[in-house]
Amino acid sequence: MADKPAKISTGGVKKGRNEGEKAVTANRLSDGITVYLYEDGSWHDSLRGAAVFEGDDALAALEQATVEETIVVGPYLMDVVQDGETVVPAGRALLRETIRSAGPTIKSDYSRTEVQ
Amino acid sequence: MYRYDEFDAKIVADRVAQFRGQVARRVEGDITEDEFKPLRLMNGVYLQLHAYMLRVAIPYGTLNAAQLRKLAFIARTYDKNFGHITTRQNIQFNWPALTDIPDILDHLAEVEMHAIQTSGNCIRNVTSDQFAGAGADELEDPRPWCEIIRQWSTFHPEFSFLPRKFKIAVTAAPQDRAAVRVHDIGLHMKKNADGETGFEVLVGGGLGRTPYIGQVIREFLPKDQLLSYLEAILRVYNSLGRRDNIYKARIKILVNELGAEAFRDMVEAEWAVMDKARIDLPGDEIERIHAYFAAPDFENDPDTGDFDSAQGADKGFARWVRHNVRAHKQKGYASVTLSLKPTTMAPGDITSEQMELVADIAQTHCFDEVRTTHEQNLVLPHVRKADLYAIYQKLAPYGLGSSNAGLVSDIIACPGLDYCNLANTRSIPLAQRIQKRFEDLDRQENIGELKIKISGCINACGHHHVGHIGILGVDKKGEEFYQVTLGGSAAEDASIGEIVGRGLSTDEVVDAIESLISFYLDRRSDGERFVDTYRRLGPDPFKEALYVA
Ligand code: SF4
Repeated sequence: MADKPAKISTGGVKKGRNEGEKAVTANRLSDGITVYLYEDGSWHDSLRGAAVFEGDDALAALEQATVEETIVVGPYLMDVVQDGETVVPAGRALLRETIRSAGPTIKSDYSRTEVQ
Repeated sequence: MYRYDEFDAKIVADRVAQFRGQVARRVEGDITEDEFKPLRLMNGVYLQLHAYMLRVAIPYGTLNAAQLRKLAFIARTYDKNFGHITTRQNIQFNWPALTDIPDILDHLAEVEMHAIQTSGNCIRNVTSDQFAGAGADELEDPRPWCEIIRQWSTFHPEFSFLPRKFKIAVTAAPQDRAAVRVHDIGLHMKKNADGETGFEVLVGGGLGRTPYIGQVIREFLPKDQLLSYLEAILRVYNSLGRRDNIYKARIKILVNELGAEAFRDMVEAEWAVMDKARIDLPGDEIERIHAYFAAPDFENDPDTGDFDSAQGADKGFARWVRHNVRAHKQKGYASVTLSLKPTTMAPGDITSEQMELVADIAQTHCFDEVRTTHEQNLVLPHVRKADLYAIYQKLAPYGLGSSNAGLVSDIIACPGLDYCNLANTRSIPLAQRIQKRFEDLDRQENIGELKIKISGCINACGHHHVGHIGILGVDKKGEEFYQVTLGGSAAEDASIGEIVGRGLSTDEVVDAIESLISFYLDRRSDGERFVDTYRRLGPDPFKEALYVA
């Protein structure tokens, strides 16, 4: 019988399992801004073009991100879906990840326009 | 107000220089995040959902104009032009870059401010009555004692790594505006049978996932023995408090597991063998600290100018006076609450322009003093009544003229999921929806005193347990739900609110709050506040009202 997918941190104090499509997210060390891992190994503040992984590939991408300590802080795997060309948050932490990617919901001046 | 001496100035400057080096080493990769995290936390730097957050200490909520202007400058230069007043009377900046924080700390040091001990398992900022030194009802100004505690607790080598964070509040008025009963240690100044003033000492209060009201372990502590007694309490806690389980590490758990009497016996035993003379301050040092808090140079019974006539002519001003202006101990003066709860801003947020306006008013009309409150407002403590109308007119264009202090829209709300990494739900948008629903000021005034407090998770930073109506955000399979508690209070009649049934969805919760309030309005007796009616009738009828919505 196959093992259950690995238990993973899903941000903050929440835990989940490594099921389905994932992106690697973290906060940039220098300014704390939310960033996402792209296919070429670079980090960007827009989720739209983030690399999407599944299963062991996701865990390997996370492990690689974890060693990039001079670039990012606290990487973890978040649930995503691919909507055409664009990657968007999904799953149980949908609201949290939407706020992380788009900015606080309370004042439009704080929003991050590139991820509307 | 206290001014730094050469030692204060040096330790703060040294600390900034040390942190600058730590940030540089972290950015260069010379230290890991695991090594750096406790260092940044010791300097008030958290990492939130989408940025760092810097929490700056405002000792017992007292600020001068130069400090407020500096905070405005920092908000404008390094943040998004606003700061957020917290329930520990501190200010938080929500968007500073890590690499800018050493410079921000240098700016703060120029005006005798810092972020030391605003985080971590140490003794945090001592909080107090926002009307200290002004209130007509106080025994004496509690702030010299807060300052004495601040100096004793800053970098105290024995208490820098406590089992968990530790919070102390001091008040000197019968009406408890500092929530002393829900602190690790609450100090309530009272007189004994001989007419001497001292401290009633409460321990083991607190909110979070296991809320408790503090218990009295000493009815009367002579003032000059304050520090040795605090040290005895902290020693017992430091040696017996649990370090194996973060959820059981606060002193409230220890006090409640041992029982207050057993805990008191341990403290008294520790205190009895202590070298008190080494710890307690000599009389001249106590006097020296008191001198910093000498009453301002009040005029003797100044003319009240247009204070009365303006209330007749301007209903808005009259309303503001009813709710936001309080009696002062000095004839001809008043204290003013500047509400940071307009519907257009997050509760407790203040822009740079607002800070600068308040700084100007404080300098011209209030002996250069401003206070922050644990209810996330500001106070001008000492204003001549003759100046009030002119001040009121200056506030409105800046969005600071809301006449809602203590009313239903004067909501405490934690940052919640809009900022906080630990949140289940958002708090601020819910506060704003409730404020909008009860926007009508006549309606608010008719409802009377009603304290709504909202937390986005069980950590209870929004003090929901002690709200007359408390609201706790819970995550149900990724959806935001809100659990309502009723009958809490943080004042002298302190109580923990009772949970009344299932959580409510985002769509239901504002209607449900409105039904509760309508039920109260129908059933209240003369002069009863919401919480009084709740206490008289009990939870059941309110529960029914909540779920018919
Ligand atoms: S109560 Fe929870 S959500 Fe609110 S600020 Fe505290 S930790 Fe964050």
